Amino acid sequence: MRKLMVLLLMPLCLSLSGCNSSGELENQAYVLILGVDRLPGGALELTARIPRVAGKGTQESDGSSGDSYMTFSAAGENYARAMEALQWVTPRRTNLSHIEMLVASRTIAEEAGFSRLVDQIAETPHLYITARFVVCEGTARDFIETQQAVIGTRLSADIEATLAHYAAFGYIPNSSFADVYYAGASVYSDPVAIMGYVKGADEPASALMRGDDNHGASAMRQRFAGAALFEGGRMVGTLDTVETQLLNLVLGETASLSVDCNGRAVELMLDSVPQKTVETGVAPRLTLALELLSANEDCGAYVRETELLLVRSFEALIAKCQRLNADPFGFAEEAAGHFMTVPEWLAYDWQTHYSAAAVDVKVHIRCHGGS
Amino acid sequence: MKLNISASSARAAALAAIVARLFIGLTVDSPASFHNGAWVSVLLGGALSVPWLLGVDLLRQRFRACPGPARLLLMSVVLASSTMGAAATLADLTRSSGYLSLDRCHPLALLIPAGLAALWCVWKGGDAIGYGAMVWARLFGTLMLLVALLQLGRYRSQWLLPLLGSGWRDIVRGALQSTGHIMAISGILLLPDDAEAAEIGARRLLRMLVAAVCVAAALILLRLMMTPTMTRGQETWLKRLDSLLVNGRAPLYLQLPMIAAWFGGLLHLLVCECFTAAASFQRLSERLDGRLCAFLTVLASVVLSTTLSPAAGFEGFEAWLAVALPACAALALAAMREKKEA
Repeated sequence: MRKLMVLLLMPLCLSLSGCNSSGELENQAYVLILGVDRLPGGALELTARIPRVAGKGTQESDGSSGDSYMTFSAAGENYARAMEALQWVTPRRTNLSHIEMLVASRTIAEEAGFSRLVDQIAETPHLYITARFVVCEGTARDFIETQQAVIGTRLSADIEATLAHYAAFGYIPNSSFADVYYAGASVYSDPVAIMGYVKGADEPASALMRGDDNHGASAMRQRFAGAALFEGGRMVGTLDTVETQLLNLVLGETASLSVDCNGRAVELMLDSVPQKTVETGVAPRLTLALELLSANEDCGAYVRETELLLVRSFEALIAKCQRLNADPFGFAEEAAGHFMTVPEWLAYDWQTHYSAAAVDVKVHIRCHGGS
Repeated sequence: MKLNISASSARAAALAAIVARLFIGLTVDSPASFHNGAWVSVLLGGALSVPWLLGVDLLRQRFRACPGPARLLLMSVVLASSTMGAAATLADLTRSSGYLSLDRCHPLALLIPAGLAALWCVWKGGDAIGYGAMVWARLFGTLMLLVALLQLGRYRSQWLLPLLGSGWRDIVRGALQSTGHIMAISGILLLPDDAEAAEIGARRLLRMLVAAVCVAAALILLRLMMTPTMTRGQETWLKRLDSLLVNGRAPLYLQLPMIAAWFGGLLHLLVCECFTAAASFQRLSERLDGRLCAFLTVLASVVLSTTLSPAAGFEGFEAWLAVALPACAALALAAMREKKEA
């Protein structure tokens, strides 16, 4: 019996190949950022940012713009062809399992067929879609070429830390590519993506930051600010950083907010989970109720003023999204609970009802002292 | 060598296999059954299986009294059902391994080690499989608890709505499918010897069924809270596996416990089905050596998994067997009654 077992197990040794044809680090091209652009002729261009594993001093490659990272671009008539071309121009096996950021140019994100491209990206084997999703002004290639590790030495860690920093303040949505993909293809709310642009290169993008355009000196050439709104699988508009902060508060992604009320900086924190209720029917009504806590000692003097300001801001934000027919707030999930089956929910035609719904925003601020 | 299994081992092996088969069958293998109401399907399927399990208990208690031809027919159907089930599980294992090995390995290189592992486990005997399932149940529970705790903030309960998913029609179809899965696994419960027959008891079998169905429904609920109901995408088997194991919303490090749970579940399912096939083969002719039966049934499963298309071949044949199995059981019970009256 034992002899038979040994005989049967012996062929298994053949599969233990040692280092032969294994995934050596230097045989892999780990893509950290992948970008998609539409070229003037209609072709699709993919751009990949890949670390130079051997470090500085190795040979310069075509299109490289940094010391430790290389950029490769390839075009094709569709996503599959462009990916094949990218595999060809990259001198190693492209490994997509460590992507930190996916970048799409605004031009391609606004195309009617963008949802199909998102599906294709999501269906790419081993492209683990934990990556963040950024829509950039200008071209994705230009945006990607500016990406360098500003603080620290690794670009992957730098991207993660930078986006986590901006998301903590609520300046950008805390959404990954998977969130955008799932929300875009689902029967619920619409997704939002991070807006990015290259400093100084894309003037229209500076409007994403409200107030004056003097954002101070920075070693970073790339900016992440605001959100790209999606509806029906394609980008339909943008939110500036203030609007994105309000949205993040509604979604519970951030818990604090600083409001400028007639020159006073009012520090607010969520006191409870924001309540969203939806009355479905022929004339639907959306209700948003927020309980906030102010850290300012003299808050009692201007609490009503601040509440009114916030109510107007939220109403304006919801009205803007209703005009664009985009529901990034999660009202759809609430409304879906009124139906027993998905076909009934789909037959209700939420998009049409949502854009015509009446809105009721209630903001209550409790001062820290309890007044 | 006689391929025996004790009553408690058969129950443990069946529990692990039913959970795995229900979860894999409803979430990955058949996309039409995976919707918000899939957990209702599993519970309904469990309820529909109760008479069948009571029948199995009755049949096993009087198996020796069953006339030869009826017994042979029943064992032949169990053999066919288990072999097909093992082939389907092997195909799932190979596809999953291919996905993780970056599709750089020949399918046979992935299939043969799984077949050898199953063969080795069957040779170790039914009790080894049962104890293995008991250990696995604890390990699986720990793994899933770890995954659930780490993903707690990412689960979205709103995605369970609308509660009945694509509607009653699909829920009933899923329930019948779940019943078929439970029936296909329950062949192992016919195998314990008469001496141990009293030990199993209908109550213990029902407790096992309730536990298996509740665990499978809970796993499906967790799965539903990770991805929303989609109107497009998720077409391929690999995409469904990808969205289960990796998902995109969960951190990359969670892949390891999820992958361990996936492959562990598949392996237990495979071993349970291979053992049932081999033991029922031996029951057809007591003179056959258990090792030979195991080798032949595993070989048949390996060959079937490479030759049959999973979509076209397995599902239809398994569904047919799920009907044939209770029909044969009813026939055997009727034959026993006639014999007793005579």
